[in-house]
Amino acid sequence: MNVLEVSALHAGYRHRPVLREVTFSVAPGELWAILGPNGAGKSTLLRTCLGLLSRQAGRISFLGKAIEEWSRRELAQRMAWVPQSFDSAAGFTGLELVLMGRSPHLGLWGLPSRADLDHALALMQDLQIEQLASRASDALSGGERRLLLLARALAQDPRILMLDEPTAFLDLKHQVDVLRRIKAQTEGGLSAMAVVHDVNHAMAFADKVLLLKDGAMLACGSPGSTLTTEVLERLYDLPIASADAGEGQKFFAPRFAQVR
Amino acid sequence: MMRMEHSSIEVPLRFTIRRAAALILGLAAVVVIAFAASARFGEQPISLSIALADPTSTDAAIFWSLRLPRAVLAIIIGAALAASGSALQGLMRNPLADPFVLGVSGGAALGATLAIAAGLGSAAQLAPEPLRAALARLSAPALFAFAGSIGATALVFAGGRVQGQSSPYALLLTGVIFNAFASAAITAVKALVNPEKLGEILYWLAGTLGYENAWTLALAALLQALAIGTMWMNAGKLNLLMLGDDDAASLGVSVGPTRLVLLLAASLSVAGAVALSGLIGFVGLIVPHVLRLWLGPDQRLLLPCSAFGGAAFLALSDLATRMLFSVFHTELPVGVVTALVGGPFFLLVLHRRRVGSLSPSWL
Repeated sequence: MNVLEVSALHAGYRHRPVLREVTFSVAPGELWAILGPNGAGKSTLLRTCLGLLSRQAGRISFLGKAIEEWSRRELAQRMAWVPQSFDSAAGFTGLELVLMGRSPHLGLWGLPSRADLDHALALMQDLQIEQLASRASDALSGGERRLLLLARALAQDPRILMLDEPTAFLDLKHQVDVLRRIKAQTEGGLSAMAVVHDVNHAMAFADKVLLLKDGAMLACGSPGSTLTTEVLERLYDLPIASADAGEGQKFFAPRFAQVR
Repeated sequence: MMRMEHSSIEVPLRFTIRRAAALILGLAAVVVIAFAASARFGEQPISLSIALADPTSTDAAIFWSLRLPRAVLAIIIGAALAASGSALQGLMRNPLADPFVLGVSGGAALGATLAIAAGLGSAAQLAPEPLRAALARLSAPALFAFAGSIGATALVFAGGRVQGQSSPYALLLTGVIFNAFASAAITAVKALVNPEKLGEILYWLAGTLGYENAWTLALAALLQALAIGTMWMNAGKLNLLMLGDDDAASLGVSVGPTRLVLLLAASLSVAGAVALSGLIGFVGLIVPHVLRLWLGPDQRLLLPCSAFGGAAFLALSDLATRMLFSVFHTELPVGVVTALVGGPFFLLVLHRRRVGSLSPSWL
């Protein structure tokens, strides 16, 4: 059974419809990359699937049940969001933040048990951020925040991860690092949808890509067959070149000579 | 998933039941001491043994009808202002939020000012015959202040809704604008009334603790227990709301209803407080703020600790106003003392605070 099925989805804001006729489905263990220019509706799609924005038309089905039939709490036990950052002024420590990921499974006060605590610490150790456990979150770098938010999402024990630009603000090494960790999670059966801006990341890590332009789907499928220079030129309105790096790796980049 | 033994690692958790219980009991002890001191001492020295032994003595009269009710009032008002200040700072995601931020101060002040200007003494003057006895013990300014703050909050809620959602910033802005409007209206009233009433209005606006009867105190205590209890019950969700609406929603919080419950509880608590005390500033801003620097932002801990801290702070500030009677030969409004003591203390704490450091490990 598919984890997430989106059919003929129209969504957006009251006076500004964003998404038109978006249809796709995510199977267990699949990592999806959502590509497209700024304003194409990538974040709107994630937020609508998370139930943070309401649909205007179409259907979203999560684990065989319409998205609006899930209560917020039930949804949070199965679907997790990794936003770009968080409000640092809150002043919680790294561990407190990760433990908040357990709260959909806990009572009114969100009191963690010993097992919840061990789970959170193990996740942090796994992501090699255990040193952030007692650090106040206001004093963290963008990359450290991103990893904490990933740990928080994993603490929810979700079936699907929704990631909003997981590589933004990260250096090259940490970009690859985060993507490898997400990939490791999906290889363990978790599904994930990530908004990404780097075509080469999608090429290297994604199982499926969804290309959005002006709120509509331009293409959808496996990265190898979908990501071609022609499609990418239409997606970004830019002349694009590709090169073979050997070992089956293909690169895309704007044709700078023509753009300048 | 790798499983590890963590018993050897120091787990840096600031909220545990044991630590919360220890801190709350400790602060409760401070409140008891502040309450005892506030009820025991004042401008007129009394003997407790005479007061308790002889109910007809002057000492007994001072203790039972002046000291004790006023100390009880200080505890109730202090707890209400600081607990709702803590909740509102979290809800607004703004450390500068205070209990009056949602238009409560403007509404309450306008209501009380109008009642005083109209020369209304007791709420009973306005009530129809069957209700007169019940309201006889409530002053008209108190009733008008309560109604004014509830009305103002309702207006700010309605005005602060953006696209059907009550965003913290729209609420904050609407509250600030309403308070400015109310303050202009009050200035107009002040310009029109006679000097005697003007003095009464100014005294009310500065924030004072008076002598309420047992019936009023019991009602106020019940209201605050309900309001603070509701806020504390929802403190875990409030923690998640402090991260942002979308974060809270993705972690399972029904954002709209939860925020509404918290805002209503906080507003009711503040309205109940200002009705009896006028506008006592700084307690609701400083107590939660200083405690947050010490205890961290977790509202499950911060909210009850703020309630106790505010109760102790206001009881001691009120004691100071009465002890200072011999210096000034008049009683300063307690709001003046909280601001004069609280302001510099707050700056000192803020100055000494090192960014990113946690509370000492012994607590």
